[in-house]
Amino acid sequence: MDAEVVRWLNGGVGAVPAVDAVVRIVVGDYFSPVVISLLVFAAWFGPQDPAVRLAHQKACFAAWLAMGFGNLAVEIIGGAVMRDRPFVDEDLQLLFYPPSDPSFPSNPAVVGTALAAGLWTADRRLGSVAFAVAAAWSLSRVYAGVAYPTDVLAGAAIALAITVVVVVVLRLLEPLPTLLLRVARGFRVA
Amino acid sequence: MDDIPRDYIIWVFLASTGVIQIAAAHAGLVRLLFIRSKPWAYALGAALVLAGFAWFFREGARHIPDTLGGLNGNEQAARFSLTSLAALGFTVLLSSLLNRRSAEVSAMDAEGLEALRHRTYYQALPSGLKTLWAEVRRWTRK
Repeated sequence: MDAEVVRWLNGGVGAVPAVDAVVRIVVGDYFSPVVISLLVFAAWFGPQDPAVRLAHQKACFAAWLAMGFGNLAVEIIGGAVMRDRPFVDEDLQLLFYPPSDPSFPSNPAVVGTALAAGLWTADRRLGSVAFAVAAAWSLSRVYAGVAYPTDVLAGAAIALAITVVVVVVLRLLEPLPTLLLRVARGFRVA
Repeated sequence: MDDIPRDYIIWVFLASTGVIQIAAAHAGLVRLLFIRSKPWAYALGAALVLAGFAWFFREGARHIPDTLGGLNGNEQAARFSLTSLAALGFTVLLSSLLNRRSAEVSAMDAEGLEALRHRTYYQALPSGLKTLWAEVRRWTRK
C-alpha cells in the first residue's frame, strides 16, 4: 500500500513541468524550513497587544523546543528502524538527490509539523499557514520519491505528540519561561 | 562555485530583516521601522523578504547534500538563529539612527518591545536594563 501510493504519486512526475519546478523548490532542504522559521520569527514581534505577544513568545519557545526534541526522536527512531528510501526498491523518477539517512520517520515532517504545531498553540492563522507549508513539504517528499507516506504520517504524529508534551512541560515549568521573557524584555527584545 | 553557506546567511539576513519590518509595522512598534509610513514599511519588508528568496534561488532549487557542500539540519538551525539575531541587531542599530530625532524621549516608559512605540531601541535600552536589574535584585532577595 505504502509503495503503491509512492508509485502513483511519483508517476505524475514529468506530466506538468510547472508543478515539478515548484516541487523541486518546496521539496528541498532550504525553502520550507526557512519559510516556517520566518513565520515563527514574525510571531515573536507581530502581535499588537502585549499579553498576546507574551503568549506568542511562549509558543515560539514551544516550537523551537519541539523541533529540537523532534530531531532527537528522528535520530533515535531512524537508527533503530533503519528503513530504506522508496527509490531503493522502486523504479522512481527522483526530483531530489538520493538521501543516505533512514526514511522512517520523515525528518522534514517532524521539523515542519513541530514548528507549525508550536506556533498554532498561540496563533491559529500563522500556525495554519505553517501547517500548510509543512504539509506541502512532506507531500512533496513522497511525490519526489524520497519518502513513504507512512514516514511522513509517523513524522507528523511524533511531532504533534512531542509538541503536546513540550507545551505541558513549559506550563509546569512556570514561572521559568515567563522569567526568561522578562529578562528578554529588559533587553527590549521581547 | 556553489557557496550555499554564504548564500544561506545572506538570504536569512535579508528575509529576517524584512520580517521584522513587517511584524513591527503590524504591531505598531514604529521606532523599529526604517520608514515611518506603515504602508511603505510593509512594502520594504516584503521587498527584503522577496530579495532574500530571489538571491538564494537565483540558480534554481539547489539540491546539494550536506556531504557535498550543502547544510545539514543542525547547521541550518545554528545559521538561522545567529543570522536572524544579526538581522535584529542591524535593525535596532539602523532604526535607532534613523529615528533618533523623531522619538518621544519623554513618553512614559513601557515594558519590553512596547517601549519601541515611542522610543528608539537605544533610548529605551537603559531604562529596560534598569528595570531588569531592580527585578533581579528582588528575585535574589526572595
